[in-house]
Amino acid sequence: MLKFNTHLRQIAYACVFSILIYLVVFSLILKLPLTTGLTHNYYVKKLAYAAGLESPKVVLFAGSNGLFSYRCESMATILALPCVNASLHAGLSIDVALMGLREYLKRGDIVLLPLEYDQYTQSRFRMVRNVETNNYVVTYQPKWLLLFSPERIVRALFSFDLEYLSSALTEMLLSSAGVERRYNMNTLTANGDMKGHTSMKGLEYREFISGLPQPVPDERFFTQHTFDGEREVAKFLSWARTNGITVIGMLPTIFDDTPVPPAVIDKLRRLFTDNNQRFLVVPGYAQYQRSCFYDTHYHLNEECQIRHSVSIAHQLQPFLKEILSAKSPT
Amino acid sequence: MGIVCNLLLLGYFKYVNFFLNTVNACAGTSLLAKSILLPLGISFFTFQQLAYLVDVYRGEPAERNFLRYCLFVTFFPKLIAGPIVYQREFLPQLSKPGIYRFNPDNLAEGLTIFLLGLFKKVVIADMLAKFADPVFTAVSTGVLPSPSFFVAWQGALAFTLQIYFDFSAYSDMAIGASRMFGITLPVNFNSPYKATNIREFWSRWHITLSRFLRDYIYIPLGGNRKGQIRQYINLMITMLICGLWHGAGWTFVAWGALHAVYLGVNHGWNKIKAAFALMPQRVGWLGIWSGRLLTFSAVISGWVLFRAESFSSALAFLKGMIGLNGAVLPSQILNLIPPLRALVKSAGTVPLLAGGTVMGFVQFSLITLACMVIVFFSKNLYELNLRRRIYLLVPSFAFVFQAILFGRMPSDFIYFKF
Repeated sequence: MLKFNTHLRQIAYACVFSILIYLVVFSLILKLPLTTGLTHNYYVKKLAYAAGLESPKVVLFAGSNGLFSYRCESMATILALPCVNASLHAGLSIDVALMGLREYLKRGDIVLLPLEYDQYTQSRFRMVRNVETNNYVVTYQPKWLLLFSPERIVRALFSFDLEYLSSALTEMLLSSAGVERRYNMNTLTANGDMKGHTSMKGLEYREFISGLPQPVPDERFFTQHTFDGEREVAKFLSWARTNGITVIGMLPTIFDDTPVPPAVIDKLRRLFTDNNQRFLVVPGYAQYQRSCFYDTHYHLNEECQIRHSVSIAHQLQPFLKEILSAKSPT
Repeated sequence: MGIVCNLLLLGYFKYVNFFLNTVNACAGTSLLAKSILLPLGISFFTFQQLAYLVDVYRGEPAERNFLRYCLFVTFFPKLIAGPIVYQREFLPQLSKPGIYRFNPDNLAEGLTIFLLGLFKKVVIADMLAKFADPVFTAVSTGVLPSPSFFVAWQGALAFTLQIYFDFSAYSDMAIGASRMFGITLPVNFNSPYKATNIREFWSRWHITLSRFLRDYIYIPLGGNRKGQIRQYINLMITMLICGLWHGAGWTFVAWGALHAVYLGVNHGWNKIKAAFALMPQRVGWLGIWSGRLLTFSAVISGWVLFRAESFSSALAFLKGMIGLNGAVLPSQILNLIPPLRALVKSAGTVPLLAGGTVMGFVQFSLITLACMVIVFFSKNLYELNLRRRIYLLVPSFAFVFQAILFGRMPSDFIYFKF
């Protein structure tokens, strides 16, 4: 019996010790400096830039569609308003992404929201289990853990697997060797837009882009269900309204091979207008030829990014004039 | 009679659709395939019952207690994917007086083996599947009809390591779970990629299947006792059955045939060596590693055939692996190693190549390297004592805990299909 106790106790100790080491190593030591770390650096830089801007300001927010396809730098001049591109990337779950967005906003601000279609269709299950989001929160935004449910806190703390370990070791190794990603802090404008992704550089992705499927959502799937992603957006719209912030929904940029079903656009418009916010549908529905895209869908190349942003800014002008005059105390 | 009944049941459940599809393909008929649910572990328990019947026929004692016989056939740790146990190994253990009492030593021994096996499956094998599956799927569905050099090698290597850890894991878990109940199952997996020739490989990979095929097919066919030509024929028959046992498909049959050819070449080479005294008695490290790498390469080529959905997919893969489909790398990688540009085409991204980024490529290389170190250099669980296995739980248990409770849904064991 003594031996039994010894061996089984040793096994129990080994298991507990294993979990403790896991928590310490993954929460405090290992990081993904080139991916999640870069996202965080973007966030910090953009937030610092936004903090220095007077309100009302324009805050553009989406996943990487916002980062690559919109240029606040160009829009600010036309709109005569300060503009920050707060977009990060669509890999982060929508609830956490919108949690981060709130930190930019003050009363009177105007948010442009060209969210990717799949942001609306995220399920609670997917959000809670989003490994990338959980990794980001534990490693770089631990205070956000306090906003999570107990189940999600535990999930976040145990979201690291062996693949993450190998990614972290790889990225820490490459980072210490001075290797940078194609996108880094130098490829960001002061306003937080992506720059330098020219059509010339995009030529090497042309073949890849030609084989990509169109990310238009299936009409029946999109319109016949109410998704948790939509609920999160609705919650944000309602919060924004309460806090005197205007939100204008927009369509994300996609290929023009098939049209976006009108029912999808109607559903999105209703989501915004039902929450007393606005929705802007531009001519052409933000659809462009594949040659206008850089390295994947939702990513316009720099020339098209600027052209699209200028066009959007011109169409926003009357909207904004109306909004600002309604808010003006005179 | 018993043997015929067992074979008829196996034939009906596992091979009738294969037979109908083959007839349709050859004769241009359109015989309808049947919708048949395959009984769990049928390949394993059929072989076990065949062995039992033959053993009893040869004079070994028959088990008269029906419940104990049922336990021998359906004992859950080994039911689905082996090991294939002989009655003389299993049934006497049921007669030991202590077997039905809780034994903490057995629990500790079994639990460590089981947990470390679980680590191999849900942590290592499932991670490797993420590198292998997309490539094989893309080739079989025509998304990537001609995989280039690096992509083909990634798929082949990842699957070679995946099936190693997957089957090793299952064997450990079966032995561990069984040990917790006080029953010792035979070792089924003994670091097979350390083999320095293909015969040794088969004495280390799925050991209990190999010995079944040897004892109940190869030797009864005459083995090596009826001349050299007959020996090669016997090898071919045995390995064709081995291939067909693994799956009802012609790629599995071809995989068996390929291994029969490997074994034939190995036997022939040994005869030449013996006749001309070509090799010294003591083989140095160079000889060992040459043999090991040659065997490993032969096994990888075999796994491509084993994993591919069709001959055309396998051929496309093998062409890719020898460079006939060209070599493509993301430009980011070529920017880091400019001399490679002379040999390798540049592309913006190669998504199937570990995500198409430098990070993904380096990550896959690190994972492969780490797995190779384990495969070639580390001791297996049965060479470690209990204390060392407990030490191994420290770096591994948390990942098992994470994968089971918080990770993605683990995939099935590859050998569950058989």
